[in-house]
Amino acid sequence: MTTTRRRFLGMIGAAASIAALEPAIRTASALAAKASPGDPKERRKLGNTGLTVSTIGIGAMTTSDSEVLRHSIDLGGDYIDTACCYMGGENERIVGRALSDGYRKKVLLATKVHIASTAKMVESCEKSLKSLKVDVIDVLQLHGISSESDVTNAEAREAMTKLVKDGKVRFPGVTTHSGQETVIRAVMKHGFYRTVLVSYNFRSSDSLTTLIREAGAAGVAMIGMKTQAGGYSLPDGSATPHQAALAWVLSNQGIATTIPSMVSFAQVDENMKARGMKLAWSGRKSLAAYGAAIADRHCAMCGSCDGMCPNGVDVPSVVRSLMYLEGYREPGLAGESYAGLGARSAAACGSCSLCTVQCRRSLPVASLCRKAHEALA
Amino acid sequence: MRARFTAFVLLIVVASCIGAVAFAASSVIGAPTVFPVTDWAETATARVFNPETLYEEINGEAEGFLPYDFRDLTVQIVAPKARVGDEIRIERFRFATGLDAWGIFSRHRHPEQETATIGSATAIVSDQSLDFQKGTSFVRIRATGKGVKRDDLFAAAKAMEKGMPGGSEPPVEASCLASVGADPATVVYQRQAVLGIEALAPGFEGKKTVDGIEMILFIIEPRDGKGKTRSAMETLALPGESPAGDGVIRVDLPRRTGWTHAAGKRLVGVAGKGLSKEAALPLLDDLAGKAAVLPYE
Repeated sequence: MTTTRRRFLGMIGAAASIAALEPAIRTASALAAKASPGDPKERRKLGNTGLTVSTIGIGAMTTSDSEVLRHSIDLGGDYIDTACCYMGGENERIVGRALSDGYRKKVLLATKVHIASTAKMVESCEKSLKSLKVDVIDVLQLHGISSESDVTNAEAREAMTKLVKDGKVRFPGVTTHSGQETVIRAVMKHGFYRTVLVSYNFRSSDSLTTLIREAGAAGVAMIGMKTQAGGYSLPDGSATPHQAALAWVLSNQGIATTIPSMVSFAQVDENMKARGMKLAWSGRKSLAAYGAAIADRHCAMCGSCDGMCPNGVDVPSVVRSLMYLEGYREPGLAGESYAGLGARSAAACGSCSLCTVQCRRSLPVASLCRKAHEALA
Repeated sequence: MRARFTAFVLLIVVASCIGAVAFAASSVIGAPTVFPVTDWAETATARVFNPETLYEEINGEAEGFLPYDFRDLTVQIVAPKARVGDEIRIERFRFATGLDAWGIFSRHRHPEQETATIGSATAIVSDQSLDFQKGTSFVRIRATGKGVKRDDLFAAAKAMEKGMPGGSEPPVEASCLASVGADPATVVYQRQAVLGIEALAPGFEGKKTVDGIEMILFIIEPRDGKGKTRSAMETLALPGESPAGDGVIRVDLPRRTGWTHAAGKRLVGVAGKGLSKEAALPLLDDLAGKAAVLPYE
């Protein structure tokens, strides 16, 4: 799950007040010293496309200023990712403005299309070409797929084949947020798609790390997104480990490039400096400890604990109220949310000796609920 | 007669209470919005997503919504009762404030879009989509069924808009930028960065082209400090700032030159590539004069 840097500043600011987090945060703040500057021109193969790409690309989805994108390109970012649905289509137009005046030839351009009928997908691509004001899209990605059947979807392949044949698209790819390992394996098995955009960061599983390495070795261009694992900043304003997180992702040689988002010139500068950075062993350990430290408060709101409490406590809603208070620092919203629970609040937790609620992420549900009640009742 | 009147009044009061409770229940976080028009069928169970789960529904696009104090997204799939295959997807994004919702709407706009009026709201319209903002909500309506007509999108939008509280008036700063010539469809409320600089956010930007030169007009909001609203001019360290006479401050922004002036507690400016003071001054004077009398929240 990813939030913005500023939102996570709030989250971590609250979390930092908890003593157990302090060692991890102090350690994380020294990460800059544990990552050595690397080759600012580091490039990798984009799978078996025959192309190479800068390891730090540009995730344009939140950028509303074309000049910020051009600044990224001037600093060497040569893979830019957008989508027809970002900002209702306006994001592609912003990217299009950035790519005028000779900038188009400096980058590989990737956008996305949703699974639909062949005709609809071709139409969507035509619309993207018009918004971007380009003749060719380098990578057109089937967006947000999660299953093998999505990978083998005949209409999608027909659309992609036609667009490649017509010279409007160079390479078909896919993006995935859920069922990622299934999708990656399916792409490796069935071929056709040349790139996979995958959510990958220092909190990802070992199995995903291994699979990305294997897919990269097999010639699939693996592109990393959500590399910041939720975004993070330190409450005292000291150095943020954004670069360390990028360095961690790029330490997996299966990753061809990453697309961190950047809304400001400063973020561009920070991201681009991560190019070629190498994380020392101590830096990796610190990043892992940091991830573990925030994990026990990071409810995924999956809702699977809903209805589990025999006393009728609405656990997902109680935990969400606590998140508003501690994570987002919104006491008003937290109080309002908790008050709305009425009889479903965590009042019963105080006299309950054995919590039977099972959390898929092993969060300490009982203590979180009691804490919520103490703070918000 | 009196007894009947009393009973009638009581009936109205009770009905209002029930309506208020029903509306409150439908607006409680986690409870889906009840689509209010009787001629529609809900063809799938409504779903609600919060800041932690928003990615599951709209993937990376979530990053554009979260910075605007996003609260929740309700997704409903509906269709006209007589044509249940002609499905429409309705997304209602809720935010902490109307300003946040308007900010998201502003990021979806550009000058070449078709617009239409839906109740008190201005909507962005196409054959397959209709977006609008009202109160703390931003609504996106998308045709997913093959036979969906524009009339269906409009009907769905009108039904939604009617039941939504709040207004759709642009913020006063946005109207101010438009009044000095910024194209209203380019005026954006920025939460993360103005002119690519995080320290300048939150603020408003709008574009105007004069004699072929594209200029960005901007208004930076006052900062809060110790319970008082402090002047943006006092609290901001602008890059490369240097006095340019008559209260004008020149700033060397990345890739642009900016000319700024205080306007009450706000900071206003005009920026462009290699923009001279002479070219910026008329607009800057106009903007500063108008922005100086804008109210504060």
